[in-house]
Amino acid sequence: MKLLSKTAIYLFLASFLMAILGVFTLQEFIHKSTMHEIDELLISHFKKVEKKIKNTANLSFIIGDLDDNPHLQGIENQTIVNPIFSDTTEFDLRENAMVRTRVLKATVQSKSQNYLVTITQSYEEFEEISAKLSWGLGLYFLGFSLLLLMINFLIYRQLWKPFHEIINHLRNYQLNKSTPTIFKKETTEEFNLLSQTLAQMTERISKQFTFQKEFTENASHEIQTPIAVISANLELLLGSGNLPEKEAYYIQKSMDSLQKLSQLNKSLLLLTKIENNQFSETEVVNLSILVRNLLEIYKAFADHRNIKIFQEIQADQTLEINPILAEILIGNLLKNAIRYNKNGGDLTCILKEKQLIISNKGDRLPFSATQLFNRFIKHPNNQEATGLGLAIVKQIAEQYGLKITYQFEDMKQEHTFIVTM
Amino acid sequence: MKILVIEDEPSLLLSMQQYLEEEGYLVSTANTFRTAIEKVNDYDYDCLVIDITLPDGSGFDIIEELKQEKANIGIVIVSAKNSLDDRLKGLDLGADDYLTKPFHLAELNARIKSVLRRRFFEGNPKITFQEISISPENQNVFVQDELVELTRKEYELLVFFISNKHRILSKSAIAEHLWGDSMDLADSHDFIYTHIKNLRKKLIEKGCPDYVKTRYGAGYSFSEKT
Repeated sequence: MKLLSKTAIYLFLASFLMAILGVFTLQEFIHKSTMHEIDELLISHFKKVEKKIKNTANLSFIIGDLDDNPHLQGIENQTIVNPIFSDTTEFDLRENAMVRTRVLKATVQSKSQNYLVTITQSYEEFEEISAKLSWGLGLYFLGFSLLLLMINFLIYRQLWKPFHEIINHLRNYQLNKSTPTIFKKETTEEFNLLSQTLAQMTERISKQFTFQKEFTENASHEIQTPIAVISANLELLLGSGNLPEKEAYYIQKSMDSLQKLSQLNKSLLLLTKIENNQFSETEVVNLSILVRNLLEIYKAFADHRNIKIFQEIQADQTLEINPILAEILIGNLLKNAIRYNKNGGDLTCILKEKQLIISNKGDRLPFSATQLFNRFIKHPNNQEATGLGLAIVKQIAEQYGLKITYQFEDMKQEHTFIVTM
Repeated sequence: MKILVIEDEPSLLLSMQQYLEEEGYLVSTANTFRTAIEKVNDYDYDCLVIDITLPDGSGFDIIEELKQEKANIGIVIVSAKNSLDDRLKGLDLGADDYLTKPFHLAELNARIKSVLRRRFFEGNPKITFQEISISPENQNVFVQDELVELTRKEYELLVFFISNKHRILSKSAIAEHLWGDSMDLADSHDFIYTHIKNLRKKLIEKGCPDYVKTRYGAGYSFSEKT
């Protein structure tokens, strides 16, 4: 649920509660005030009656009041009743219903007799006004809240636009991209803060990343020289020719490992260079010719293991790519297809429009296919490999936006790599 | 044949010097740009082995200076950088070959031999070993005037063997010479064995003694001695 919808719901609930509460509070408040005013009115009325009773000798005039309000009743005892207010109901002819009425009872002493004075005042009308006023205000408040929410909905898109732009930038952010992501200055302070912070953060990350990459490249270069020294010395030692068999064997093993180290180092360097975009020059490469040449180079190797090569190459298929990387990409795939093939197996290489398919026979992978392109993932039967071949393939494919997929067919016992251009 | 080896890493310089001296060359060394320039100006060499990155200058500058005056010197570049640009620049300036570190000394030796052959035996650059004679320009191999049919790889193998005769060549050195970077070590060992077996067979068929010796399982050597 969107932030806006959530806020809207909470705000609406709150306004609704406030409105209901407001209606009742207001009603109660008006009711209290009305009562107060009515009581004052009754008292004032009573005072007039009292004055009249005290000053008038002939009370028949007062008693003759048409609606019997105030009502006078002569009483015998001498006790004085202080003004007492009470609520009751009375029949109202107009409303044709019982209406709420306020009653004041009090005694008045005249010269000759005590009177109990009862004054009534209906307050139904006031209550009606109070209810109408309260509900009206409540509804108005609710309406106003809804209006505000609607305005909020309308300006939301505009206000949050920078936020969505920033999110978009972040989504498209790639560490190895040569052009830095631009987080521009925003007019909203919060978004500006977010934008600036992200800009600083990505800059730091990218600096660190560049530093790391340079370090890898320099380290790889530096390592090559000592390897060269060791290799040369071992070769001299072996070449002297008068070593006992056992020593010569150990030297040979060391040289092999050294060779592997050097290969590993070269592959890492290559990976770093691809990442660092050091093979940026591209040209239109004729893949058909390239694939044929590579198949020619590896043919002897395939023959050696009695692997039959089936090729189906459409002429003049081209791709804009760095020629060295193109050769490494296809070469690595072909090398793999031979290396992990069964002795006497098949290698199929199909190049058609926008697609290169290379498949070879072999058993199911001993690890998850998702790991296949990861660095240093090796087949348990070939621990001598660098485990970087397919990682390099993937890196190159990513560089040029090529899609590379792998599948294994149980029925045919066949691994297939498809490069889609 | 006089060779000047220019390399700033002392251990590597020493190894190269020793290997090449064992091959019968007169070897001078220089480990800075300055001494290299002095030596190049003061003496005559047949071949230069130059490291591109020197502490006080670039090997490219030595080649440039040299090519203006003494165009006939063979030049082999050794560099830690495996960059195509450097390779092309070196060859453009007039270098004959470019090797990436680390390299096998046997490979360096074979490259130097090939350079010297091209430079000094123009017209008739024959490679000979006992009754075997090779003419590199058309890649024909003869055993006592009888042509031996070799595949391209077998031919390269034979030349590499003869360039480094009497020495033990490790399988990795042979593999790298034949296949360069295009094949990993793991794949190549018994593949090489097959090639060597075929070459051996073809030479013996033409009446050669078995010159290819297996040494302690450490490698092979090509020698008339037993």
